[in-house]
Amino acid sequence: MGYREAKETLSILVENKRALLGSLILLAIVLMALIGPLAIPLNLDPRFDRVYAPPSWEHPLGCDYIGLDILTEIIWGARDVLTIVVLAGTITVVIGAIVGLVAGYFGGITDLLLSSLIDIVLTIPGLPLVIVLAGLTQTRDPLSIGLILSANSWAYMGRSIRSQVLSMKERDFIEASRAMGISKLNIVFRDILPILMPYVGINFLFAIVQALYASVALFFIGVLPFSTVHWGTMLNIAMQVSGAIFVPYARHYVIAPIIFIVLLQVGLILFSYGIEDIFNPRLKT
Amino acid sequence: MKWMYRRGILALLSIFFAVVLTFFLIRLMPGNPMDVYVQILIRSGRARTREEAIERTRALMPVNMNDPLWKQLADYILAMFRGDLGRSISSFAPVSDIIVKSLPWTVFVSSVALVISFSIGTALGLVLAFNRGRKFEGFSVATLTLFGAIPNYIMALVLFYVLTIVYPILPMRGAYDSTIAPGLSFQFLLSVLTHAMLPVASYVLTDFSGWALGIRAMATTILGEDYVMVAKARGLRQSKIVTNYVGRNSILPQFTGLVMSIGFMFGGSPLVELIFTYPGIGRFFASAVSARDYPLLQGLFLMLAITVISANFIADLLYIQIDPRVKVGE
Amino acid sequence: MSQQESPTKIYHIADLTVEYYMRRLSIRAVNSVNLRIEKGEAFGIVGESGSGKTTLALSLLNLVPKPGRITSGSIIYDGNKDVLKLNGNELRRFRWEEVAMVFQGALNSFNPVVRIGDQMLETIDEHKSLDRQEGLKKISTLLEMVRLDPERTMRSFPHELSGGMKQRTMIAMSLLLDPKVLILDEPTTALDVISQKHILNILADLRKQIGATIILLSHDLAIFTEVVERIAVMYAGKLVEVASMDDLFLRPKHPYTLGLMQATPSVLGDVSKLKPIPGSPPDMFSLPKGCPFNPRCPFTIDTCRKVNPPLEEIPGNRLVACHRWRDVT
Repeated sequence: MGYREAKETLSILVENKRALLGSLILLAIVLMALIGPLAIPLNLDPRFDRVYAPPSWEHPLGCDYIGLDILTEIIWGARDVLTIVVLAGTITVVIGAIVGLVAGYFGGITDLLLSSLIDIVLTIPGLPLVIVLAGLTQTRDPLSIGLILSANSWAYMGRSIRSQVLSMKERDFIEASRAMGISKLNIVFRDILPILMPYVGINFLFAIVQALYASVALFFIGVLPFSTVHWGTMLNIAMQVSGAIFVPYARHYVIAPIIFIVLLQVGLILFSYGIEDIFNPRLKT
Repeated sequence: MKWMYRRGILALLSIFFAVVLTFFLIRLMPGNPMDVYVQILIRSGRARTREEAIERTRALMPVNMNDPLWKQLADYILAMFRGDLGRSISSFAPVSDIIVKSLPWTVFVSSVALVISFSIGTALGLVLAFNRGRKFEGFSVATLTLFGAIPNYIMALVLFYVLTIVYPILPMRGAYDSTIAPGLSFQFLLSVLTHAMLPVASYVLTDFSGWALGIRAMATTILGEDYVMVAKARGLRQSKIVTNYVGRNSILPQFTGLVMSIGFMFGGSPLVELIFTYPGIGRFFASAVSARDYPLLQGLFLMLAITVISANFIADLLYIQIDPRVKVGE
Repeated sequence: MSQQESPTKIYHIADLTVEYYMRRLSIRAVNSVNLRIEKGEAFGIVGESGSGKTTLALSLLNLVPKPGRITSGSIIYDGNKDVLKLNGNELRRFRWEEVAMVFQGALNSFNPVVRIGDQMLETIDEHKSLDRQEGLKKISTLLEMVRLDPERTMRSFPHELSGGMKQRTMIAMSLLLDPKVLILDEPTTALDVISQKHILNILADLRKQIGATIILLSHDLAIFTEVVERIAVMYAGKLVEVASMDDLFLRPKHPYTLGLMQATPSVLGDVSKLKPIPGSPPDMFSLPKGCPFNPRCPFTIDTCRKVNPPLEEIPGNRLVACHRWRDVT
């Protein structure tokens, strides 16, 4: 993307108030995840004199059930949360795109098999599938977790890409490439893929939204021991392990992760409006 | 017609796929779970001899662990048709019993939630579409987006927190007050309602915005159509235009979504049910995973898959009836 | 301008301005239009697409859609009602009972999910209380008049009819309540020649039978010759000439009208003598100072670039908005 294009994209983003807000939220959280841990060390030693300490200057979000600073946990947790959802989103998009491209372009038996596979995977309920896979494999590795989270969502991507490819296959410029004798693989990657980028972009974002929903759910149930500071795990501990939700003065422990989870989710969705605008050719002058 | 057979076969294939998947998932886990259970039985002293432990374990699953894999699969499928899905490790109750007891609750809550969120969402969406450009539009759309962004279990947590702990108005757990005998009595029904309120609210509050924004977009397009202007020129009453012209034409595409939701309705959300300790299929699911209760887990997942797949299939059939244009397209 | 309103004027449009507002810009689709239409007259309005004629027609029913707004003027109907000041219910009854409009390209004028017959009945129900039998009879009569099979048409859904059939059905629908004024916006565009002829014949019959006032809008000069008595020419939202059909065709006094005549082929005329109007259609977002036609006008003088000529009455009972009308031949 050239400088001019980057400027254009940025201006479209700024025009749309919602997208702007979304971008800012995301930017803040990403910065928090990247820089926070460098600035603030994570000290996991319990401080029993500070159990459920209320918010104060020293502990802006208060302390948890063993006296640890909640803000620190949120900051460190942001890294875990983002790593997983971005991984999951990427895996979803890559698998979905490949399957969709191959099925759509090569057609025939390949398409029949692949789309049947897609249909089957789509009808299996997503969250339960993820929960079962997680519960049974019990991995701690973010990559595997990302894979599990994509178990269902790659199919949506696959289907969407496939229908796009199908409609593009018959278009003239593809015929032209074929006539010039360009290999099928080349056509797929050089002609078709660039046009699909908008769909890939939007689907990537939605895959992340889905992954956020599923990953927090996973850790909230407590099915995977991954990290103690993941926001979902914090909720699990708050709600079930320590029963903070029932303790009146401990409620900040429950509220903090909730706020950040919702914030991230809202930021993603608002940002997706911006992505739609960016790829909407009618807005480009 | 041919189309219907294809969908039917696909549905059956999906179910078969789900069966095989669940079956092998468990077998492929490191360490034969049944052996693990045998160990647990012996160590905890609940079985005195190894033979007894093996006997008890065997009773849990309608399958002989030592048979070749393909035979185990065949046995399992046959047992499935007989209605025998094994027994839960935690409670020793037959899995099929657990399913029969819990599925209705999930369906109850989900269907009520679907009806309410669709109705409220549609009404709200239409109101918003007709009032474009008014001052409250930006605020409303923003609020709706916010509601839609909140995961349903987070909403459940918030509701749980605010309405059962901070202001203990509504019951915390269960499908009904256990001190009341089930039956058609007014107290029982009231109790069922109050216990269902928060789970239903969790779904409704996070779903309705989707319907609202969807129909708002559709209705806005319809409002720009010529025939709406012609209807106004013909001197038709505004109420007539809203219902017959804009309403009818906007809702039609929503039906696809509605009909698809019916399928997923059967799954409910394991988390929401967990938070409210609501005895639906999702909650048993969540606890089965935590407890590594493999027979129960397998049976539940299977049941879930089968109901969702079948419901989607039926929903597809129904949709054909509603929108004749689809039929023509075949 | 405070003349006695003559009782034969069905529409007296005074200083009507309609603006469309978009983001940061606005355009004047209709710019200070003054026009009087006689009762029972067959009146034509000619102009390119974008000239403002459709907006003008919609104003006659106070039906200008957002983001358009009528920002000034009055439209007096039948000497006593200002259409723009009618309240909700009055307006609702006025529409279709007094004035009906057949929209451009009736392809999408009907509710796609309701049968034609039901939509016709619906129209009647919302206004009068004819009993069902009478209503059906009326619908049948009208459908026959537009040469359609009543049974089949009433049972059909809109998508089952062809373009020409829908156009004719729309005409029938417009006559359901015996309106005094019928406005038709491009009634023959997008139709094949045979359907066009049909419709023009129907319109001619209508005038004889019903004596309603007909207002016909088109960019195609040819159709006016069959039905219309007086014509108004619109350009860039402005009325530039109003005259009888003969005067307009044979002795146009506005350069734009002259240009139109010279660019229109006639069956007998020599095609090689056709002269297109030079230049391009006006950009409504940035109209030139003075007369909007001046960049393309062969008669332009300095005044034209500074002063927008008002619509004035000239001898022969006609109106023209041009500084140099005397020199136009």
